[in-house]
Amino acid sequence: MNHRTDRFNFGISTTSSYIKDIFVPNGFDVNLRGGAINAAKLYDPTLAIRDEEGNFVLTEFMDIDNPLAILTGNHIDGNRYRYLGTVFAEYFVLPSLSVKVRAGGDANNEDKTVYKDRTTIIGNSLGGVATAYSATQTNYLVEGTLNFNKAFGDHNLGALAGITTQKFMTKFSEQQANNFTTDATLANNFGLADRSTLINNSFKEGNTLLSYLGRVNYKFQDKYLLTASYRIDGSSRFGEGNRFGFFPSFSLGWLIDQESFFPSTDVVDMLKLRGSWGQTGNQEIGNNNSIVTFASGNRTSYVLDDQFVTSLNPTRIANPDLQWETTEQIDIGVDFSLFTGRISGSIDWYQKKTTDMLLNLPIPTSSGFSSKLVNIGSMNNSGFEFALTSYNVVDRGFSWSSDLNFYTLNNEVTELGGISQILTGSFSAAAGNISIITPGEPLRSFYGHEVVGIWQQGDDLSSVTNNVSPGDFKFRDVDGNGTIDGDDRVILGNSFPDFTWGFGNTFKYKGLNLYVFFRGVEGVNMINGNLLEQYFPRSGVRVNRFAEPFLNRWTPTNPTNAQPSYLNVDQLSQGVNSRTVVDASYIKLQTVRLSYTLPTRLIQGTFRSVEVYVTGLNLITFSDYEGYDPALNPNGSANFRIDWNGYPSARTYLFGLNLGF
Amino acid sequence: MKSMKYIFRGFLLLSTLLLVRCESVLEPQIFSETAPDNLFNSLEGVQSVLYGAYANSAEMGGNDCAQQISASEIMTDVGFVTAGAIANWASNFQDFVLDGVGSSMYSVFWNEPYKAIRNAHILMENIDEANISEDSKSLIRAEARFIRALSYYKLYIRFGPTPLRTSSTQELETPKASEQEYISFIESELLEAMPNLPDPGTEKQWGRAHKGAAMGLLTKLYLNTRQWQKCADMAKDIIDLGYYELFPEYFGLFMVKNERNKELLWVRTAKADLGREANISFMNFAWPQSFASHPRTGLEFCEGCRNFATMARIRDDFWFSFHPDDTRKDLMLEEYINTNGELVDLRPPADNVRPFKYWPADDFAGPAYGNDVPDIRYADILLSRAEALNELNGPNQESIDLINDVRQRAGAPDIALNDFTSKDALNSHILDERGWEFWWEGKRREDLIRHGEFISRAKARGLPAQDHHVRHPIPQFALDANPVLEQNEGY
Repeated sequence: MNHRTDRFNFGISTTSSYIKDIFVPNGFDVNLRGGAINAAKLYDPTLAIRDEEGNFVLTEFMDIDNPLAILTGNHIDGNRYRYLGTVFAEYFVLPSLSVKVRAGGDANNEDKTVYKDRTTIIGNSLGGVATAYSATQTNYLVEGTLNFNKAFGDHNLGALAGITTQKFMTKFSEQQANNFTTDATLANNFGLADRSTLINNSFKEGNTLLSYLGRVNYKFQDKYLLTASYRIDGSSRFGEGNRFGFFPSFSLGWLIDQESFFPSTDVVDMLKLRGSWGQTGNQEIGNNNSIVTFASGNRTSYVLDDQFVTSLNPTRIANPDLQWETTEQIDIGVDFSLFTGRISGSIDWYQKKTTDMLLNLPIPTSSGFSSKLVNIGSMNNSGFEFALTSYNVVDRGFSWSSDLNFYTLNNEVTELGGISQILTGSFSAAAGNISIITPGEPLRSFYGHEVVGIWQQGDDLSSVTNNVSPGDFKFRDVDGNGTIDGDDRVILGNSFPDFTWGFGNTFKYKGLNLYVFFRGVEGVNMINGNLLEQYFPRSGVRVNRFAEPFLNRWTPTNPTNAQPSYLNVDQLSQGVNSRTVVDASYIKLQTVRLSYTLPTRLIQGTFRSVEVYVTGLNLITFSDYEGYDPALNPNGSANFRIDWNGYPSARTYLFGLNLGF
Repeated sequence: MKSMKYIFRGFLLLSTLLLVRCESVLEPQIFSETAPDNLFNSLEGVQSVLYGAYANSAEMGGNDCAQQISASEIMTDVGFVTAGAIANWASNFQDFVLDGVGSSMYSVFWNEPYKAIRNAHILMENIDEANISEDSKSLIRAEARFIRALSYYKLYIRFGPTPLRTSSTQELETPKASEQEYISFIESELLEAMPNLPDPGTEKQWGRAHKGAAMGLLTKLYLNTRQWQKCADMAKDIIDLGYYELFPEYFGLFMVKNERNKELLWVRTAKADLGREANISFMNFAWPQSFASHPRTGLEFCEGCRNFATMARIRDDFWFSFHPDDTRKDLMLEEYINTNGELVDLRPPADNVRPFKYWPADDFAGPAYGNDVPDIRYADILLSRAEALNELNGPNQESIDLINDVRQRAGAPDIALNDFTSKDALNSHILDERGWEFWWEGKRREDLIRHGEFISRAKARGLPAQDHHVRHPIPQFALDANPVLEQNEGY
């Protein structure tokens, strides 16, 4: 809603949404925490699903539910409600000068119930287990700005000065109980649980941002563009005295084709040069990291006189010196349009230099803490961006156009404040630290052992002190001391692709429209956690294996160097190695969309437009990756790719009808 | 037009307010966590940090206790584990791989004691300012010292000397302390704590430190560092307290219903709950497959109990070594009736007898059981004095009497002084006796090491054990994070 007069402008907007979720248990973990995909991989494929009495058949070799029981015996429902609203009022003191106040709020409510019924191992053991969570995330923003905008002949000047503040709040509560009279009420009636088992928990935290900003835009004759800005950002997450960061930026633009000296030909019809420099701040860390607090932790309760007593532990080593992480970015680019718009595009080169990186620095755990959040070191991200649109055929009946984009990224840690390396990162299919941060290498490079082959019969097994047999992985003894250990780890790759690209083509013939889009990622590594778990299963010694590598395993009669014998689970300590850190490059036929728009004469008087379409998404993947999909990254962090227990990505077909009234 | 003026002034006022509020807006607000100054304002606050220290030192969350005791026991002649998720925690120890990486127990073994030590430091450094009585201060200070000594003792048994931190402000990157420095620190902590700890039985609650616990720990320290005279004397002091006694029957000693008996100098307290906050889950490893009942004891599988895929087993040689009348092996199951009603024989030659030491109780929730886990028992004190006296004087009647006290409770026949012609002979019997008495209590490894039998017996079982394996390797994650920390010799 908007209301406007000569001197006054006022508006309100609100949106709300509701999303219902039904979840399938899926975990980045082992045993019962692994979820449906993990269980499906590891379970004996020869076991019956149910016995004669209709109960799920369980393996005796692992503590994992029957995969189907995981799907049907866990009832997980979620609801998300979101309300967003802003209101603003602007008053024009002069036609060129206004004062504007904006206030906005965003409230997110989420509730989730989980019920494990008696067909699951845990549900059976505990008489049904119910958990109900509810969480509220809110943030509100208040902003006041002074705006100035005026044209003086060839000059156009805009300026803005303002102040904004934003407050974030998270509240969380959960209750859990077991021993329910019946499974029928799921997690919807805690009154039916054994009261003595009821556990309640709640949590609340918040943070605040406060910024002062100023910006000037200047334009001369629509040829030269200049923007300069200055921000002072304050965050409650940093230590006293370090809460404010200062971030200037400016950019220049030059439309060369507007110059009188620019030859007016049919070849180039638009050419713009751009350049910018600026600094931005990052405060995406948890709350309270700069101060000492105590909290009750998971599984840290103590029992006195046979009763649990409240136990508190310090949550962290506080770092009162925490401050903004700063990224300084330079971008130089060209926008162009050729042959009266038949070909247009842009080319950019960028460099981002991040200093005072916010990193969780592992510290000796003899302090009682495992890490400390610090500002340390710097890194560089640089690369090219390239985008091109081309109208290859433009005809009344038939047309064909292409879109191409191409993006490169080079990441390099440039220094670490005097520390030579940080070994960090872990996941529960592997053992120990699995990545390294060190100057000269990309952030979180995979760190492990290089496989040089498989130990064969007749090899001198005593050349290493480790207990190995023919058929075991043979690792490179980097320091040559005869023992394969942590000192023999090397960098095995990283999660930053050399380049990513997308290529789309649109064909039109009369009412028919065909869109085909490919995309690709090249030169990226990932830990194949599913393969790693096949070699070194942690949920059980006897588990199902992937047929393809396993059938080619080393045996005395198949003395291959391609696959080990799968017998030495103690090589788990070298689980992250050059066989499990793999290339995850791929090309995907991401989208094909065919549509037909009915000629208007057929629908005259009934609809404005009618379109029938069929779309396919995620249709084909071309890749050497051994797994469901090289694009999966269940670890979540884009800079640290690990595929394990990932839910396969869906292939989607859509048929549809668009009616315009 | 006048109203517009008011609105404009309103804007100005609001903008000014925003500017004025500025800095104070960014003061962090804490809601659910507690700031230290609130905590040290009350006895309850200080105690919650103390209880945190106790909990960390007890290592009773999740499967920690069951796996921690077992990871030690499966390196010895007592038993081993098979199937299930043993690659996660057991294989690295059981197979003598010992690479400091491949077991989740490395972090329990190394980190948990240091978390307890951390809390002890916080207590000692803040308690002077705390708003509590002087008596409470001196008691909590003594308890903090006890916890710190206990934690360093555990680290020592596992790794030998480790970085010895004695305050929170110390340099983070600390090298290992010397053997001498380390042992005297533990000793002096306990000696300093002792006068301010309550007499056994007068502690405020079961689970808090008292003189008996500190004296017991000191006896164990002296025993395992071969300070025989001090060991014999401290054990004597405990005997002379006249407080402790052997629980009349061995079979019931580990049951929930007999908790808090006078044989127990120090226990790791437990209670069953859904969150497995402080429990022992060892029974899940002990139940044989499809267990329904046990004829000899009438034990039945509890409804809702879990039976993990992992199976803990007693070695045949160890089972055979018991005297037939010895009731200490009654806590091992040699047969059972399965869910199909069939009698299953677990006896030799299958290495398949089951350790049921932490006898299932009514206090369970799923995989969690509430049995308190004995850490120091009076039987250990008696046998420690017997061993120390033999080391000092050779076979002697007092040692024999002490051993017979322990044997009589178990129904095993007495031994006689003239059965032993040398110090070594009696020493060797004491090692056996300790095996029968303390099997699967997590003491076998240190006993074998002290008697110089740990490596040779592992080798005899065909394992790639080497002399330096008497100490665990310093975990790789600890080396990764601390450049001045050196790996233990031999690794």
